[in-house]
Amino acid sequence: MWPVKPGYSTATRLILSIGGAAALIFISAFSYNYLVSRRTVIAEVEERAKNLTLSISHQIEAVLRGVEGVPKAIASLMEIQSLSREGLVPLIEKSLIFNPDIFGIAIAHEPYAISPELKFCAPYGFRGKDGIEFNFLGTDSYNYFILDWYQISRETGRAHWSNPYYDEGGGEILMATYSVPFFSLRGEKRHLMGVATADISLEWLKELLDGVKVYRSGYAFIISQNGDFITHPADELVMRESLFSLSEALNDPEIRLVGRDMIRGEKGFAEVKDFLTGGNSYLYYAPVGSSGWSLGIIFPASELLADVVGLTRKLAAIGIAGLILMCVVIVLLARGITRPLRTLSDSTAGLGKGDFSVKAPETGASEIRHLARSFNALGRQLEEYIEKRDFIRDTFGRYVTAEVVKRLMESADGLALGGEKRELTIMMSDLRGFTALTSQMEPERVVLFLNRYLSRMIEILMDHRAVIDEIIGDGILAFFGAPEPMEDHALKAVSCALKMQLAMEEINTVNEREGLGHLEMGIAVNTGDVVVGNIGSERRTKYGVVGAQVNFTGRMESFTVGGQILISPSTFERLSGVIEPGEQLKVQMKGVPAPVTLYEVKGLGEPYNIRLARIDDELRHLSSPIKVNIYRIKDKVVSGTGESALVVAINPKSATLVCSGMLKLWEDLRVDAADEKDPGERRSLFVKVMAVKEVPGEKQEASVRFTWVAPAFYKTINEIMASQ
Amino acid sequence: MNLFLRSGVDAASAMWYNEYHQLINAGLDQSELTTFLLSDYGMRFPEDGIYCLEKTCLDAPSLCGDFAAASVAGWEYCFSHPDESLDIVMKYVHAAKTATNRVHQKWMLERMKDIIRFEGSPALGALSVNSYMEVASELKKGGYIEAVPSYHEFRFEPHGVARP
Repeated sequence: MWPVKPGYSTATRLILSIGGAAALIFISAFSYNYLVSRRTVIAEVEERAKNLTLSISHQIEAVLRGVEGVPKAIASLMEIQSLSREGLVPLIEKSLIFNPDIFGIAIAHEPYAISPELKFCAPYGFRGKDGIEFNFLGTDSYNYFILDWYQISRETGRAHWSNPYYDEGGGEILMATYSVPFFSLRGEKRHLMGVATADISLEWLKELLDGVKVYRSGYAFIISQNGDFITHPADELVMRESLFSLSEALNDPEIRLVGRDMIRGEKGFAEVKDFLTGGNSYLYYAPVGSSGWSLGIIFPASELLADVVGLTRKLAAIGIAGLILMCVVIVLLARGITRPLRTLSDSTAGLGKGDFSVKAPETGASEIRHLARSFNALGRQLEEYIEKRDFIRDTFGRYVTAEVVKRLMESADGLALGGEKRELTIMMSDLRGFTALTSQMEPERVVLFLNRYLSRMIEILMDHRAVIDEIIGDGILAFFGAPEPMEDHALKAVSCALKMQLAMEEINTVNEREGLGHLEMGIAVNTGDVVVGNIGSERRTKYGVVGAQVNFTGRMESFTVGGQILISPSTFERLSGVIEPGEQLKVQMKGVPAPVTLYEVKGLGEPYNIRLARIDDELRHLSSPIKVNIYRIKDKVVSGTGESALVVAINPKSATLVCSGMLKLWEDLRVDAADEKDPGERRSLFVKVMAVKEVPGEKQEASVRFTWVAPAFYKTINEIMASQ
Repeated sequence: MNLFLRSGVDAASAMWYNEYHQLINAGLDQSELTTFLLSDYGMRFPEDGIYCLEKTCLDAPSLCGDFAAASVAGWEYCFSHPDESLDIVMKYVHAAKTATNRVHQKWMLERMKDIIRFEGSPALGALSVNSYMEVASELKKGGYIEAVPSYHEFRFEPHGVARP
């Protein structure tokens, strides 16, 4: 088939291909049928023409033969018996009486053949108005010796039919003459004595041929030896035109060829243009007896093939109707096939817009049903996938790494994250003095500040595959070891904590440059069994941890000072040998009966090699102690009136206070420098009491750790550390 | 011509503008005919002329002159209006039931034109002295005439001046 452009619809493609093929087959069959039918019809016509022509020819010949017999008989008689000029008349008269077809008879003699005195001797009898009349032909003006009817037989010695002619009387009657020469035998030699003739009217010939009906406009005609029309339905051709003059006039050499064939007495069947109408015709021709004339029958091709053409037209109509019907069926079929595809296409559009509930009808051809089923399955899968994705994203998206999300999405039970008890490492951190610092800042700056801090912290946590359970303000709760199992969650957590502390230095550098103040972060790390899972309702779910160990970690965190990492004994246990410990703190925690030892982490040894910057934390004993006022803090609220105290020794993390002796272990205090002049730049410290001992003079000496240092105080401490 | 066509004779004299074409129109092809043109054998005779009695000529010379001039004009008209000429001829052919046809009449007209108006032909109606003398001497030689009349005796000049 011819190539179908790829942009066409299914119906168009089918019509072009199937319809084209069908049309081709139809046209082939149709053409073949036409050609064969045509050939059959023409063969039949040829046969029919042949029979018709021969039958007419025989009829004419029968008449002519009858006429020919009379002059032949007279000629024979003339050869046997010499009759006188007067004796010829009764012979002619009798012959005319017995042969009513004959119009006239002449017995013409050679000059002086009857008597030496008689140059002309040609008695002629013919049917006049009042019966048979006689005339003696031959005068000086009517010299019959040179006329065709006499001369041709004389010169050829043969009988012959003349060319037809109109009768002498100027009448309308077409005549022809048959001439027979007669001879006398003188010794061995035959001498021409004369010529006997019979004239006949050819009117009957015209009637005979006019009666020949060939289809509607077909006809028969006769031409003479010269090709002249003796009869033809068109009178203007008769005795005027010949086939040859027509050939010249119509400039159709084919007619001349046929004409030559006809006057030579051939039979044949030829395709010609009709002499009058110019229409395509078939001509059958055959000679007419001994006359030398030729009979032709014209069969107009259009009428001849009318049946074939009619049949062909009907077939064409049926074929075209069939093709149209087929196209309609193809269109309907194609629509039937493509309708579900269109629905599918619409559904796909719905799918594209996020409506996964759209369903394609599972009807139609099996392939289409299959496709629809696959599509519907796709919709369901997408729906499930999106549900799962949304869940995982909502649950973890912001707090776990993309890698974890991906793995959860891929896992078959990624959504089946029910609660489970598992050993994890929990980390809690917050910034010291953040609230105090930010209370006087513009909200925009607070957000900028917090975001800078949190984004860096979250980045580090993600790097360590931590799950961030909660971020409240500056505080972060994260855990390691879930949802994916993690063998070294304690190590990861500590490593992460170290990195976070190190990052604080960069953040502070930037903050200080922008005048945002110095901040320090405390981090607590604890390992233990907790319940982990999806916590919340349908509407809002969080993958988080709960349990006593979480609370414990919170308490631990309150013991940290800025820049410090404290780990619980359980974490320490898991990391002994790797960890580079700092001081150990024995603390009493709320809700925990026995004191707990917390370990400060300074770094991780080989192969991790992460260490906090070494800080000079040797206590500087002050020659002139700093006078301060201390305020007790109970449940995060500063209470009571200030009491005087003295800072006798200090380093960046802790100090030794001497006061009147009412401090308790683990108590939180606010310490303000007593010589405060500018309240806007108050030199304050938040501290926790770590040890208390009695000193002489009813005094107490308390070791305190800073949990927050006001920037102004920090400056003072740095000056002291630098000076000594 | 029928005698020739029926093989009654082997040769026939025929006019180029008439019988020759009749033979062609009776189905003989040019290639089947051997022609001997008289002009090729020194017999280039002017054929047709208008003749009258000497008396008529002397009695009504201008009438005769006009008649000849009208004939010439008639020929000129026919040559320049062949279709109209043929229409007129065929009208009479139909009326008289003459056994001829338009194709033949056309041939005749065209051949007449060829014969009369060839390149370098004398003016229509003119008879040169040379032509006259050539014909007359051939006729005398053939014994058809005893004496040759002078050109001026033979040719009537209505205005008394012979044209060359």
